[in-house]
Amino acid sequence: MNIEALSLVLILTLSATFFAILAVEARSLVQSTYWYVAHSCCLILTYVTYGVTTGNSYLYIWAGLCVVNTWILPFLQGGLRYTAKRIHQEERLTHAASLIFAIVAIVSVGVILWRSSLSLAVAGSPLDNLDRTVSINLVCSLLLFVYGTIVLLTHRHLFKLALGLLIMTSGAHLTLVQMAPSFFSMVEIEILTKVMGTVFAMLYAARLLFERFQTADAARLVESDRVSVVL
Amino acid sequence: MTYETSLLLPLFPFIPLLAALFVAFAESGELGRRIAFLLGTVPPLGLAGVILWRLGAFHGGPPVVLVAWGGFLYADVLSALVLCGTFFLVTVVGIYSFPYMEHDIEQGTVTEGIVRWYYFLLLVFCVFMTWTVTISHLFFMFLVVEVATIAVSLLVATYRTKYALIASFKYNLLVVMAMLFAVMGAVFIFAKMTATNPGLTRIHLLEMGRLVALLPAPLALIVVACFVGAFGTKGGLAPFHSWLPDAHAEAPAPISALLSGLVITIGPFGFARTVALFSPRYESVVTLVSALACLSIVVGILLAIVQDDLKRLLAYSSVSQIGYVFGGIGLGTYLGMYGGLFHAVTHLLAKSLLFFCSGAIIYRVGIRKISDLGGLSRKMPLTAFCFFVASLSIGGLPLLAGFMSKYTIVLAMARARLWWAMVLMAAAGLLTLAALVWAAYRVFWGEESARVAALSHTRREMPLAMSIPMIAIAASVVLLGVFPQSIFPVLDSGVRSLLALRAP
Repeated sequence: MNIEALSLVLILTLSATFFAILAVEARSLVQSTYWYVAHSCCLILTYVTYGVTTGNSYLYIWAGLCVVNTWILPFLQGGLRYTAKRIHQEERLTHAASLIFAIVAIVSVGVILWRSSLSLAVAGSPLDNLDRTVSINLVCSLLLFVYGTIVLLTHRHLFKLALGLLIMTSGAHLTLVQMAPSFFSMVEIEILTKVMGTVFAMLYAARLLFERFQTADAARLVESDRVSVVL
Repeated sequence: MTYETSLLLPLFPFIPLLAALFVAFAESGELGRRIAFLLGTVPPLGLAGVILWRLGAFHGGPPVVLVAWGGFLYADVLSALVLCGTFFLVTVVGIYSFPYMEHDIEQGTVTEGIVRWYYFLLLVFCVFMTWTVTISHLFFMFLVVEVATIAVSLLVATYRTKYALIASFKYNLLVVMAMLFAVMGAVFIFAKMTATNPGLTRIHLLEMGRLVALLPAPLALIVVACFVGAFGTKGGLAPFHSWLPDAHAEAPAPISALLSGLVITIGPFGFARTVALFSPRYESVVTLVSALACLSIVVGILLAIVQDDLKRLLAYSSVSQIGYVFGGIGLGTYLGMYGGLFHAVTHLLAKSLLFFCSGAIIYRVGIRKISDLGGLSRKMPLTAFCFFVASLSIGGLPLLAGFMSKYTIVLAMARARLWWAMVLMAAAGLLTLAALVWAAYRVFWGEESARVAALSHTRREMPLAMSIPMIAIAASVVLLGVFPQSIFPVLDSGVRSLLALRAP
């Protein structure tokens, strides 16, 4: 891949991470959905860029599936936006995920720079010579995966947890594309690991809990019981 | 290793699938539903036995692997053993559930529709559990594990209470999150392999041993970390166990038995297929797994001791016991793997029996708080006997199933010169015995509580459909303890088939 394509991929990966953070931090859940769609647009463009530069036509199919997954499924009954309109986010908003992510990102980049060097273009596979040169794009996609994990570990709102799972999946897929862009069974892997079934099941549970207990915040759900016991 | 084609293997999931469709859509009565359920689980149990026999599990010989659909499906002795366990336990859980869920309908905790859905999900779980242990394509395995997880999470939410819904959500979230770590590990292996071998199209589990041997050390350790996190969470290993106590406590008792006996076994199964392949090459992997196993054993039993909720106590005990299984398998030696598999079998029997006992108590008394129980032995003698037998077995008392399996694992630790792990495991075994026997004493022989005193003497302890599975499992626990050599040929073949997967 040439340096222009790699730079474009870097910009798109960073944008995907930025939009993922906005999706998690947004006050309104409907807004979160739109930021997630923006995040997915960056991924689609990344796959197309890789498709053009490596000649792997399977990546176009992957991008097409991504369009279905992120532009159509969230707007269907039971999807992200459907759920976002039916449950609202309580005032409590934690920025812990983004703060922890910032620290993790700074520390990991620092460690990499201390042990080896970061480079946009890496000769051969990004997994070769990890002790000497590490691909910036690879680090960014891994950080996206880590961000999804942090969201899952720090957030208590069920909708945000579903978002965290989707972000983790994006990170895993992006990492695969960065590491083996010319591989031809990508579509198969994308379909098999998309976790859409789980996300729909989780959103259904979130809606059910909100309908019955007027909150989709796991911490508040537990607290409400403690309060009633005290009273 | 010899590969043979099997026509039987693809059939497995379709039998419970047809039964599931019947249960969901046919306008049948309660009896029709029960018959359909048993037709969906008993014949596959027989077929699993046939497969075990075809694999030479009962008469030794070189390891054989059955394959179908061009290698997409496979079955070695380990897969066949899990299949037997799956269909046995689901059949038993189903039979136990017939009166249990009927009682719940009478109590108004569930509706007729939810019970129909319950049996449907149990059969769907069987379908995807079968594929989980027979599909050789690693990424496809991820998909079927995800669907099986959804089915189990919906079963956990059967009562639709707030805590049941939260527990179901938590289980779904954490397990799928963990499986994404497994995907990440597979992605690393895949990317590395496609760079050197562009013809590679997918990762076959049976080829993992060869692929592992080609990975450079730093990458191999990252992959191990991903797999340990993934299968550790699925198996409820501390510190990844947070879903386990909630799910066990909030699910109906038969589902808790299924969770503890079978669902968490997928963790060690995945572990044996992946992480155990790294153990002979990297000593740090053995140390890491042994440390995590010991942490799980100690933390699990310490948390179990302080519980006042019977099901939660048993759940934490599962966190502890699964540590033994992981520790044994993670060693990667013949003895360790043998002990690990053996303990998975004995734990499946004893823990499901304990959860059935807790279900019987809930059925009769309606509560599960230990401090509100007491003196139940006179009103529920069969339950008291079964609970006591299972507790002693899990505690590792000689002449019961759990003794020999634990002893094998402790011996394997000593052979591997992991003295600290050996001492911790032996000490935690005593604590387990004390914790479970103390719980049994408080529930069955302690001071009779008002709630228990109010129970009628004349009423039958529980319906036959609930007591027969309990008696059958209690008998197996005793028989396996007295004749531990009876299971040796099967476990020996299982371990040899696992060892044969390694690269020379």
